[in-house]
Amino acid sequence: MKGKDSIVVAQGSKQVGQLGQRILKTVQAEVNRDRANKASVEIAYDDYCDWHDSGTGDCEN
Amino acid sequence: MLEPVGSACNLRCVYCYQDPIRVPKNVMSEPILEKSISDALELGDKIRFLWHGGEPLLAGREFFQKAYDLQEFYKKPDQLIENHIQTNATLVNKEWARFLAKYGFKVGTSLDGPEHLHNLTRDRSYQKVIRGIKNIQATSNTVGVVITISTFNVDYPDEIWEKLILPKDLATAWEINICTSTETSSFTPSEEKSIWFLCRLFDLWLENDNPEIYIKTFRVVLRALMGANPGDCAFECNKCNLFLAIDELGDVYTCNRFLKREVAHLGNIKTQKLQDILNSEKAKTLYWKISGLKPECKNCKWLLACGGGCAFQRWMSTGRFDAGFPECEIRKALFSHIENKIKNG
Repeated sequence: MKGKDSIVVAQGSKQVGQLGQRILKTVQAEVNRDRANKASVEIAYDDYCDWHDSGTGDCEN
Repeated sequence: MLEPVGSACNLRCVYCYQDPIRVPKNVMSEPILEKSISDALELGDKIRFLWHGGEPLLAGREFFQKAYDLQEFYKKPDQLIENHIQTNATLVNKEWARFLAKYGFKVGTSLDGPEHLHNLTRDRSYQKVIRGIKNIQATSNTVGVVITISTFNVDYPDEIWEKLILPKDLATAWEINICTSTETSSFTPSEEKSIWFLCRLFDLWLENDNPEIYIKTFRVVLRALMGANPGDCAFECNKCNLFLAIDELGDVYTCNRFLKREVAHLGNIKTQKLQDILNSEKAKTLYWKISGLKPECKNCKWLLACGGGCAFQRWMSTGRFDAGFPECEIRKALFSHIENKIKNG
């Protein structure tokens, strides 16, 4: 979700519980990398979309 | 997506969405293969070929060697080509494994649980699949696995986690799909059980907290909750037009899931250019229909995490594209559960 509903994972963040910190930070780093690569998430949509039934698990740009 | 043998397969999985349209094996001809590859390589700088089926390995290694050679021949300078293959892995002997590794194929397969669960749905193939996976891993190639949740395995999230996913020796990526009902079969678990399974598996994954265990299904939701796009076509609006499926006869569909279904047939590559098919009025009309969402979806707080769901599933359940997504309540419950877990611990 965007804007005020977005969940931001960062060191010391009070918005995030204790569970799954390593997983959450990994996904957040991936999201941040996407954002750095593109000016906006909307543009990145076109580059980052895996076909649902592909089990290869590789969605890297 | 290329379907070198169409829906032909050496297994008879109980829930297969291609069962209603199954035809005898017929390998894609060389002219169709060549036209498919040369046309596809005109569509962009980065092209991913996803070899699917049926069981694509039934086409034989010579077919795939030819495909690779054609890709190299038609490839433009600096063009990036990826090959992915979704196989049941039962035919992957050492020679196949070496071939797939040599040409850089990323491999996906399917397991529905440990042996006693997998064999209930996937034609008693567990030992053959494991042998195929081991052959692939012996070449230092990796494997991703789709787990299909049906009425047969929905009661076993803990066992699937502990025996299949947690040991980390079978796959580097996992995807959890709820079984789709078709014209001839319905092994779709109840909403209640599906929600329970997915939430329980998510909790086990989160509590274990190992980023090396990559479960795409949950990762796409986390990405959406962090304000990014999910990265999976079944969770985003209007992504059908990023994909095309070409079957063994050269018929072109929006997606492999719609194979042999007239509603999503766009043309035939033997007489048309792929680019012209994509730009045709027929394609534009179909993509416009697919993009239609119910007002409830448009106003849903989860729209950016769900995208209204897969167009095939919406169509399959009602015969309409602007119908509700059959997994709507499951997704809402899962998204709420995940949001609550990561906000409140």
